[in-house]
Amino acid sequence: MVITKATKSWIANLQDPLKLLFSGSPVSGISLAEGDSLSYAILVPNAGALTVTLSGGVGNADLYISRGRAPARVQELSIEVGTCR
Amino acid sequence: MRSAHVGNAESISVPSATEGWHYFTIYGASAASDITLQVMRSYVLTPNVTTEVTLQPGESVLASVKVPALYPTPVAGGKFGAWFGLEFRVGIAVPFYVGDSSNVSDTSYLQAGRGRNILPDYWKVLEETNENQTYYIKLVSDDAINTLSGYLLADMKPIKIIPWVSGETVSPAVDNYFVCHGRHDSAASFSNLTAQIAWKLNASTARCFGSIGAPPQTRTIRMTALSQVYKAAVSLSRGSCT
Repeated sequence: MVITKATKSWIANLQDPLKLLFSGSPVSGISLAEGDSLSYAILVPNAGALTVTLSGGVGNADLYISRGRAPARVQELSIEVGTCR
Repeated sequence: MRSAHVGNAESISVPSATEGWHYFTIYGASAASDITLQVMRSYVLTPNVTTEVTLQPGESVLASVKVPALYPTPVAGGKFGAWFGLEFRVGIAVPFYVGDSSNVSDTSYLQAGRGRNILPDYWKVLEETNENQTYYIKLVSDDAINTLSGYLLADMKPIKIIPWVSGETVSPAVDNYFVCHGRHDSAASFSNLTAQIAWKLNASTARCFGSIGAPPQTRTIRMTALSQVYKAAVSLSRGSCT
């Protein structure tokens, strides 16, 4: 994964409140302006596997995942979805 | 960084997600709209090991188990054979109030019932399974935490809806009844209470119909779920042919 300087700057300035995710309940209609971000969190009560899917839409969005702490600190995985316009 | 085209779902698995909070942040590398984000928890079952899964309101999770390859095993009577049966047991832990509906102002009794757990056990045994086949059970709770439904799937396609209760099949979209067993013994007057509880799905307040003391004395008990989690357990059991 390549973390650009711009990405680091964005990470350092995350201010969006976290929204809760629930297993099996998709969040749809997510829209972002360039450079904007939205943050979500899920509570895993029992250790297991997580499968994260980012799909559909237009544009280009990246998904960053971190564990146990705010995503501003560590990104362990990332996926990107969408096409650049 | 991986990329995907519009319309092609892109997934990443975190195979060993530990307990606790996990965070996701979507960043607009360019303007983006109408994107869908979904997270699914899943658990791999081990034969003869019960896995406890906690569900929050509105959640669904997957539990999977792969049936091992069969092998001959000597059993009593000199015969050989072995089979694996899939046994799904789902127990729900729901702290609840118990009150006598004929005297709901009896707060002492209500207090006595506070926080008691009801732990019904629902199970379904599949005695015939295919070796090397992976089976999945999808557990779904509704937003009002009044229902817990189970679906048995193979190859990620529903093959059967689990009949939780003999003669009844639970469907998440239709009112139905769970039958469970509860025991409340903290109040002397209600010692040895064993209630057969009909838990109507999709009802904000479940009603419990039980017997108190020796039959045929029956009373109606009010039950209100307080907890917002389900605990479900599923397991794989091994049997042998005789």
